[in-house]
Amino acid sequence: MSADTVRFSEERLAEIAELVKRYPGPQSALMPVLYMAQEDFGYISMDAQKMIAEVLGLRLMQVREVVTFYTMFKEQPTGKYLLEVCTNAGCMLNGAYELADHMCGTLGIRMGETTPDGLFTIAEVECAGACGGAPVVQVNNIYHEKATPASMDALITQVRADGGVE
Amino acid sequence: MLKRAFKTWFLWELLIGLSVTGRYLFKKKITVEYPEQKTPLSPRFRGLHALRRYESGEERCIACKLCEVVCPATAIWIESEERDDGSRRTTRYDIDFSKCIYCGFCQEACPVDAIVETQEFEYACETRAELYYDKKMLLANGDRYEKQIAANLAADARYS
Amino acid sequence: MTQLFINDQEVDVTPGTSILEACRQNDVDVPYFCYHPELSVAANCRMCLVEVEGWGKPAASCCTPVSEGMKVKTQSETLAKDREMMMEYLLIHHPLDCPVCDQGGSCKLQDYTVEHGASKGRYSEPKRAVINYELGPFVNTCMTRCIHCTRCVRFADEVAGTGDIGVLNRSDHMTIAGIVEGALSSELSGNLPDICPVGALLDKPSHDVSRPWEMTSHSSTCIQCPNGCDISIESRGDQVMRIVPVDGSPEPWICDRGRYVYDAFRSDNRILSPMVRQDGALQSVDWSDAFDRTIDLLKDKKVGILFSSQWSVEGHVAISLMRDALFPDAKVAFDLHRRDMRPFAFEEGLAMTTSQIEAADQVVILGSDLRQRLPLLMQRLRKRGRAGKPVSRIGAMNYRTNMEIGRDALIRPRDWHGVIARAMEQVSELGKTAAGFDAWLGAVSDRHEAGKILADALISDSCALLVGEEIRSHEDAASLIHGVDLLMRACGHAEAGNDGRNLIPEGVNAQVLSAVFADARVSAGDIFAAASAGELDALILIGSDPVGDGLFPSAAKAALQKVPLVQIGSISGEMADYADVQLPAAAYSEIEGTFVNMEGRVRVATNPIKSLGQERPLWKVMMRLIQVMGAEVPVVSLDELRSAVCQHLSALSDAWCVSNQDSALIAPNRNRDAAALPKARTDSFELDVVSRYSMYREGMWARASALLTEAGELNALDDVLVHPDTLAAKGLSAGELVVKSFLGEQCFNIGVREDVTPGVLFIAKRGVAGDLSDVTAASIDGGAV
Repeated sequence: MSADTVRFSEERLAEIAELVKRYPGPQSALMPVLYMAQEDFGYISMDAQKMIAEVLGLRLMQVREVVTFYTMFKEQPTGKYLLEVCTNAGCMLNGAYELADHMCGTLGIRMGETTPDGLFTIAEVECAGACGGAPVVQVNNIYHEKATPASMDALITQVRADGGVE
Repeated sequence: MLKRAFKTWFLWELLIGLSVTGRYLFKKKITVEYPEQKTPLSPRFRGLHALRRYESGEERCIACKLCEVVCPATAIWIESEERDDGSRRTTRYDIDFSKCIYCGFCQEACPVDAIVETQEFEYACETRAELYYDKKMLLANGDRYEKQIAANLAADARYS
Repeated sequence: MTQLFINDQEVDVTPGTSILEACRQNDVDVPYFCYHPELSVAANCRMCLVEVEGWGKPAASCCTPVSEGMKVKTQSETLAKDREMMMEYLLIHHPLDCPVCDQGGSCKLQDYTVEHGASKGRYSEPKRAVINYELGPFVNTCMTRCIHCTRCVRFADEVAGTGDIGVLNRSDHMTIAGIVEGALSSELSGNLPDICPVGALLDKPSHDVSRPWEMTSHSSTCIQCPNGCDISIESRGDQVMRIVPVDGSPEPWICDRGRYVYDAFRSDNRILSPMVRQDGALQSVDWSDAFDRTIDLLKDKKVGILFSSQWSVEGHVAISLMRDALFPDAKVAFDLHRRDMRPFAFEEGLAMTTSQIEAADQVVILGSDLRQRLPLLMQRLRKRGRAGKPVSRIGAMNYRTNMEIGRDALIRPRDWHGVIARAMEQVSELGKTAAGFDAWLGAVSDRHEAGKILADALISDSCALLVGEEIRSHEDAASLIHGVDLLMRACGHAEAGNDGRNLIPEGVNAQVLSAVFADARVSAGDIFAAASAGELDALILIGSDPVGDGLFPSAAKAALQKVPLVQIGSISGEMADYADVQLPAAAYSEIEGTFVNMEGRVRVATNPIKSLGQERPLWKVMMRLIQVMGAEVPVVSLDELRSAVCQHLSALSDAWCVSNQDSALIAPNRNRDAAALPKARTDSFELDVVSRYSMYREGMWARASALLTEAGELNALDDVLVHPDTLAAKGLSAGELVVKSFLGEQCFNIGVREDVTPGVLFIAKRGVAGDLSDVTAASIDGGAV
């Protein structure tokens, strides 16, 4: 996939043009545009980053800095279900690492990997901001608080049984 | 006056001197018959220099040139390069032992215990040129005395 | 002025100054890593903490502006503790490899650790390691040592303008990385190791070779371009080890050309002893044998003298004395890029200082690849661009500048007349005119729209014109410069104090050369033509390589095959193939000498390095030559020579005694009467030839440097370029094509590039397409046979 093939649709470009007007400069519109790209392409490849830099008139490095800074922007394709286990202090004390190890075992993959069927990706994240419900696992933007190995196993089994349907 | 005459005529001072000689004549001898016999040397003895290697055979010296700069007699001359494997090594490591004052600063400065002074002190030679040791000779010294060097360093380790 | 107290000392600074700058101005020591006077403030190292009375916590002094009556403390127990903690934090992941790190001995982190750090670290967990990335041929990376001060990121963004270094990831995973491997495409990349406060970015060519404490520093002037930057040549023994910029000089950076030329000093290309051609090969001989041969070749002969501008003022005046004593009628040439030798209305040299150019309302670049030609002036223009001030450009190629050019026009060299005429018309409509406008306008029939850019810029209060090599080497340069001069007069940019007429010279000492050789100078082409025609018996080349450089390579080759050559210089170069005698002259690192840069700034080098071989300062070689040839030696000491210099240029008389050398700027020559009118073109070739000046391969020094040659290969363009439309119009495609010119038909590998003006044949690599440099026009005549 080259920069020529990763393209925003015309509607998207119009939306971006509108968005840029709301900010003092095009750089300010970078975050929402990155969200759009992730929504459209599933992940933000290097080519997509180049394309975004071109669209917003920024340097590629300015785009890359933002993409790599935030963990929610993915540079690699992920599975259909992204399981993000918070391992920050609160969750860690409540057994996040044990939970993560257990989930890796259940899925048969290592941290950061995707299952061969492309259904799950498991990742470690920093504080998800839900320490009250530690440990927390974020599944595609939905929080599962006070997660236990059993509840996660149940989730995984259910998803597998449904064949990946939402 | 009388006492002085007595001392003069009976060679009193001489007798006193001879009595010391006589005393030592019958005492246990401490003379070391060098070169057949040798005195024991301290582990800190500062003799001929050597460049050491790791057990793998890799030379220790990383060409940091701290010994070169600390040497008060400017007896050390180092040139370095980046070796093909990316490590920093010397291409030249010379010590001129006609300049060296055996102060041991180089050994002290060395961060990797590469340059050390051995207990070897019998390397007299006939020309000054032979006192100019290059890297190959110093490494050969290291190979030859490694056992002794390691033992000395171990013996001295808890004091340093 | 804002008044504040630093450590109970009352100081006055300009409002808006940061506390750190106030401290630096008043010699109060505050430690810092990320702050750099030439870069924007990042405030991310937190090392510059100071206490301000009444504030609850310490303030980062680099980003805190001063305020009236502020009471600042830079030393206290709390601060000592804070700094100790900052040091511990910075050292957490820093490897303890100082003995193998080239920065060791000149490392801020090392110094501050000794000064402010604790004697022991408490961190015992595993340290992190970072993958290195490739940063071009001159910068070695060891990113594990990085402390994330982001100086390099800001440098790439703000100074180099490439912006290809950035901060990736965050917190513990934070790394500094290049965007594409092997990316840094800046001509200023050599400065990165200088600004890195730790050993993360290091000089690649001298990596693992030497230590900072082994160097002796010799201040000198860089002669690699007319900017004449102050440099410090660092040597170990008599070997030049590196060249670095000088703190506190007008330019805080130096370009890669000036910096990495250092390996030419010890290259095989140096002439280190007198050489004489015997049995077809150059043999080393002693001075007297070499002079014997020289006498045979030169005594009572007609000679042509060609020298480069890269000598000191003393050297140039010695050449003039030698000519007066031995060959009073000899033709002299020193500029290999000037075809038109009629006097220019404004001669080579800048009327403004580079900081004035940076501050001017308008800047117009007329036909110059400034980034290659004067990287540091380009850097100033970039700085200006960031401040929102416009830079416009007219030229034959869309030269890469790493900045946004406001208004840009691509024109062919033959359009210059039309451009100037169009601008003249526009300013006359506004009632601005000068005597001579009508005559000039009357001689030109074309009008080119690019003239609007020029005219619009001229209307502003202060306008700096940077007249570059495309005009200077134009066949009809005198008339173009006369036209520009008229325009500048009409718009009031020609008076003292507001003079914006800057003609970028070939090299340093341009003002001195045009004063000393005003009557004797001819075009280098004329000398070669005379030699080829048998009018000359010998050529004397003093540090010049007309085959490798300049606009007359094929004329030079023809001439050199015809007449014997006496070469005097530091670098042998391609001239070794032709020279009958080579006499070694000292390099610029090895002489006491005076240099005048394009602004007219005078610099005197007083602390030379010992000669590597038998080479002697040029003036001594010249005087010895006069002596052996049997004439009377005019000067016998440097002082006498300098008084001879003063006879030519009284402005220099203060240079050797006044301590403040910045005060006297030597103004470039002005010829008010030089009124050259445009000439009509006579040839029928449809393409104009423009050749590129490449900083990596122009000049004997650069070509003798393996480092610059390597970099030049990385930055190389195709040999000969044209605009795609130029070929399309003829139904041809890129590849081997026949080029027809006055030199006949030749075959070249021709590439296409949108950046070239249609109708221009752009020679990107003079060496390969060297022969084409001789001509100003050509045509492409179809595919290769």
